[in-house]
Order: sequence, then structure tokens, then C-alpha cells
Amino acid sequence: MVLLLTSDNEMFSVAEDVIKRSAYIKNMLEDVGESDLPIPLPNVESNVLVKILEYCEHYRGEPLPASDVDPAEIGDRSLDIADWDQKYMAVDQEMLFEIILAANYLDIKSLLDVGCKTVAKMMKGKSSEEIRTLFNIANDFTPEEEAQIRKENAWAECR
Amino acid sequence: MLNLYVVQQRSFAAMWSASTQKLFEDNGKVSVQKHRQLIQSRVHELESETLALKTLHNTLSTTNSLPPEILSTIFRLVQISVRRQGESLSWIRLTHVCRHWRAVSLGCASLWSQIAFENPFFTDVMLVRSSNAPLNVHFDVPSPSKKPLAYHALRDVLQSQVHRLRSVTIQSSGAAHRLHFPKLLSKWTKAPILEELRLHATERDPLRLPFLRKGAPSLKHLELSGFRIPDWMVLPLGPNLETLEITFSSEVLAGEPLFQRPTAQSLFSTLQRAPSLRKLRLFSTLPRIPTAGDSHTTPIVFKNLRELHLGDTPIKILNFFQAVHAPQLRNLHITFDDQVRDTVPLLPEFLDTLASTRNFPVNRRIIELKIEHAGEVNVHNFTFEFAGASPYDADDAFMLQLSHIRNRHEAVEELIPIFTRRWDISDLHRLVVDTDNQISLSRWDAHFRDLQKLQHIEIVGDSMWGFAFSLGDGMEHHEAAAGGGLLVPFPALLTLVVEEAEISEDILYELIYGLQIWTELDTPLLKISFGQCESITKETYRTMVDSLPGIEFTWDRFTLGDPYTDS
Repeated sequence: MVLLLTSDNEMFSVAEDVIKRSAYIKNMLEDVGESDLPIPLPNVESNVLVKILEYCEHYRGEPLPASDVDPAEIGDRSLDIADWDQKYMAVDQEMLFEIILAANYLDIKSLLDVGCKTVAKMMKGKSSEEIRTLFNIANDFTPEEEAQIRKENAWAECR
Repeated sequence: MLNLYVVQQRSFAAMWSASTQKLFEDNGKVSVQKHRQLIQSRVHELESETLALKTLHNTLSTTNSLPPEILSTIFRLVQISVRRQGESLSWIRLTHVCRHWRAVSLGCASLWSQIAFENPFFTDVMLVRSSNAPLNVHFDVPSPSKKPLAYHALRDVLQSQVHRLRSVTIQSSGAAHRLHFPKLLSKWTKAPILEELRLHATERDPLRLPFLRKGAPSLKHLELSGFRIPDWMVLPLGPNLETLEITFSSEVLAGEPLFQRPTAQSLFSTLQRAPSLRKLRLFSTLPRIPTAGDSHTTPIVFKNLRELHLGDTPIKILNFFQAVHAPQLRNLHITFDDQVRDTVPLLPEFLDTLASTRNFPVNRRIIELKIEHAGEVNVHNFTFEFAGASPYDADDAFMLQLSHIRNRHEAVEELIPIFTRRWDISDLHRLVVDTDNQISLSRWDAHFRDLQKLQHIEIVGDSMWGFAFSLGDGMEHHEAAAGGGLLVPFPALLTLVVEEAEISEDILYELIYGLQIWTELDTPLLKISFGQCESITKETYRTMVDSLPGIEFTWDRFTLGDPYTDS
């Protein structure tokens, strides 16, 4: 078992084959070896870690993605998300982004990928104004920037 | 009498900042011109403050907690997705949401390196913003009114950006919007980092002049469709080419008597210029005149070829297949020409000849079989996976796909014996039946029921009846024989996936009956999943789950005990 200590000082005892989906933890275990000391996770709160562990538990035993796959390398990826992953990601917006940040920190590529796709699907097909409303963002462009944007919009719509 | 100005000043004074309040107090104390300047200056200050506050507000947005590289990745995912749907520039709205998003997007060169041609001015903007990133060019012929400008923009990019073209796709769709490919390509002489080139013409465009004649040394993927290729030596093949796809449609060929198929010599000498070839796809482009059939002919060796997809008439496919030797071939996909009205009578001889060639696996044990409807009445695809020579090397398995098998008179199940007579299915461990053309009880019984290694069955469409009754009858006979040597039906089954199937009451009860006995025997732990089965209700699902406690069920509508769906 591996001990994990979250930022709000909660201790979790997790099976090694479950948490090894995190490349960060996996590498740490390989570097440090067996230890009774907990691994501190200063960037992850306990409620988020619970969700992360639910994901790792679900995919327990499934092959890990190749370590040389760069998540920023988009390739020809579509926005298709497996049914279970969609249900898993049906959380409030704050938790969704916490999951993405934790997946990034813990280096869980497949979860980061699902998180990015989930947000991309939320954005897709929406106008700028709809996106602002969705994510509680204010339009902070200067009049000059607005003019440039209007021009770009005209180019984009001129087909 | 107080004027409106003074009333307003008194009403709202408490809300104003000292700077604004002072402006009201200055009224009449300074010249009008000076006062106007002071007000204007204050307005600018307030506008700047407002924008700064909005930017501060945005730092609290959940999206802005993401590192820029993740936000850019999300933008790229949206971009790719909308481009697939033909709205290639609608992603640009993402850069218009707020200053932070705009800064992130402008800092992501790869976002701008997907060059679009909807508007030539915007093409220029993308070229600048993509900095020095390698370019991916995708050109779909636009509306006729935009065509000249877009065409010139494309030509300019192909000529001025040669040093950073990584991928080029040019799609000419519809005769009305045809591109003049020969002219466009003849001026394109080199592409040092080009890895992928896809050119789709509107049929018949001739490729006579060589293009990229000064070299495309990095070219790994070349895809050409719809071209006439009078001289195959014009193709920019090279030592790094791994994928070559050349297709022409057989319908067009039928109305094109002057179309020149390559001679065997020109085709093979061309292919030999690409020694690294791993994937080759040739559609309606195989030589007309036989090259093989003579077993003494020295074969053309493609030592790296792993995937071969041939689409043509059976005789041309066999000719080609006999003339080559691909010792690493692991995936052979054959698509029968649409013009051949009934391929079934040809199948036995075709399979025997195919299997006699040096490229076919020696091991004829099938471990996976997929029977799939091809979208037209009585047209099916069959996929076979043959076990590798070594049981420990999955990479050694051989995949054979036979597509567009047309049978005018016979049901799809009549084709199964054609294969099972030739190849051994006793090691079959996965079976997929995806057709509304039913596999009957007798066929399930004869071919699949007694297989000792069949672990996974997937049924899409209407073959559930045959399976359920094969299982039920098999159990009934097994029980009646009371262990008198009769095999347990489907003894190795681990997973059963049922999709888009009509589960009538008699199927349901036959399934429950068979599985109740089946699970009491020394059988594996079975998982059954249902997807898109409209006839299943929560009640029938509960009946199954309650009647068969030893089986793990899932259903896409809900899972019992699942907090997401069972509420």
C-alpha cells in the first residue's frame, strides 16, 4: 500500500497498482523504493483525490498508456469520450477543473486527456459570449482589440 | 430652479470617487474647454480601471486556473473537432473570449499552423502567427466566387513556405469547383520537411509532369485519389515513404474507356522506389494484363510491407498478390470491385488461390471472426484473425479482411461454411456478428456452440434469437443426456455483448433458462452487457439480474447500484 497525504492533511492508503496510473507517483516509488512515509500531495485536496482514486480504481488492471505520448501532441484526436468517463466527468465546473489540475500534477495522461476533451466539448459550437457566460468570464478587451476581433470575425465568417 | 445636472450630481454623489466628484465641483470654475478635457481624461481612466477590474475578475474563472499549455491543448481539440465538421474557422471565437485566452492562443504557434484558406487575408494572419512552426495545410475548394483568391493563396503558400510544409491536403470536390492540379503541382518543386501529402482530385485529372522533383526526402505518407497517372514515374516516392494510397473509383473507370491502368512493369518499378513501404492501398489501379500466374516468375519483394489493401476485381487482385512477396505482411484487406455483381460464386476458387500464394499465413487457425453488414442489401464484410506462428507473439497474428462480398441469392450464414471448410475455427476465441441478416439456430449449433475456446461473443442486430436458442437447446440436451458425453454449449464464454438487438419475451426466457443451468455447471464467470437495445425495460433487466445472480450485467441505460444511473 502507498500512503498519500493531501494538502488538507488527510491521509489515504492506496493499493500500489491503483495509484501507479499516476506517472508522478510511479516514478517516485521507483526512485525512492519502499517507504512507510506518506507521499505529500500539496496541490491536491482530499475531495479531489477521492475522485482521482475512483478513476484509477475503475481502470485498475488496464494497460497504462505509453510513457512517450505527449498529451500536448494532439495528433488526430477526436472529442469522443467513453461512456463511463462521461459519467465520471459529470461534476460541477470547479471539480472538473480541479480534476484536470490534479491529473496534470499527478501525470495521469489518460485522465488529463478526458478532462481536456470534456472542456473542449463544453466550448465547441458556442459563441464567445456564450463561453463567457458558461465560465463566468468578463469581456476585458479594449476598444482597439474589439475592433481587431470584429475584423477577424468578419474574415472567419466570410466564406 | 435646479437643473437636471445638479439633481443628478446630488443623487449619486455618494457613489462617486473623489476624482469624479471633483469634476462636478470644478463646473464653472475652469474654462469649458479645459473642463471637457478633464472629463474626457477621467472617462479614459475609468474605462481602463473597468477593464483592469474585469481582467482581475477573470483570474477567478475556473478556466484561468489552468496552465497555458493545457488551455492551448483544449483549444487545439476544439479546432480539430470543428475542422472535421467543415467549420474550419469557427474555433477562432475562442480567441475572442477574453484577453487571457487571446494571449494564450496567440502564444500557441501550432494553433495557427493549421492553415485555412476561407479568406486569403486570414491565411496571411495565420502564417504570421504560426511563427516558424511546421505548417499543416488543408485546402478544400471554396465557393466559386472565392475560388480564385483562395487558389492564389494556396499557390503562394506552396511556393513561399516550402521550408516548413509538414502536411498538405488538397481536396477538390465536385466538378464545378475543380482545381487545376497539374498547373498547381508543376510549380511545386521541393518540400524538405513534408511528411504527409494527400491530393484528392475530381476524377480524371492527369498527372503527367513530375512534381516535387527537387525532392521531398521526409515524405512518409502519400495519398492520391481521382487522378489519371499516365506516367507513374512522376510520383514523388522516396526512401522514407511508409504509406502509399492510390485510388480511383471503379464507377468512373467503367465510363472511362481511355483510362490507362499502369502496366505491371510501371507499377512494380514505381513501388520499388519506396523500399520502406509499410502500408499500401491500391484501388482500381491494378494492372489490366496479368503479370503472374506463372509460379516461376521471380516475385517482387516488399520486405517491410505489413498492411496491404487491394480493391479491384478478383482476378486482378490475385494477379497482384501472386506477383509480390511480402514476408512481413500482417494485415491483408481485400475489397471486391463494386462492378462485380455477385462475388459469392467466385469465392471458393479465389480463397484457394489466395491461400496458395507465398504471402498467406501457413497457420490457418482462426482466433477472431467478425461478420459485418456492409451497408447495402446482401453485401457483407468478413474479418479473420489467424493465430500467429508463435502463441506468445501477438504481433505475429495475421488479419484478413474481405469486404463487399455480394451474395444475390444466399443468406449470409450460407457463406460461413465456405470459410470453415478451409480454415480451422476450433481455436476461435472472439466472434462478432453485426448484421440484421440472421445467423440461425442451426448455424450457431453447427459452427459455434461447441467451440472450446470461444470466450467473447458480440451480437449486433438480429442474431440473438439463434444464439439464445442454441444455448437453451444445448443446455436442454446436456441435461437430458445427464452428463452422457454431451458438451456444455459455449463452455468458455466470458463476455457476451449485445447491441441494437430486439430482445423479445421468448428470447429473454430462453436466455434465462439456458444461463440458469449454464451457471450451475463448471463454467466461467460471465459478464453480459446490453447497449442500445430499445426493447429492454428496467423490468426485464431486473428480471434477468434477479434470475441470474451469478452473472455480472451492465446496460447502457443504467447499472444496478451505480450511483450515476440507478437513482
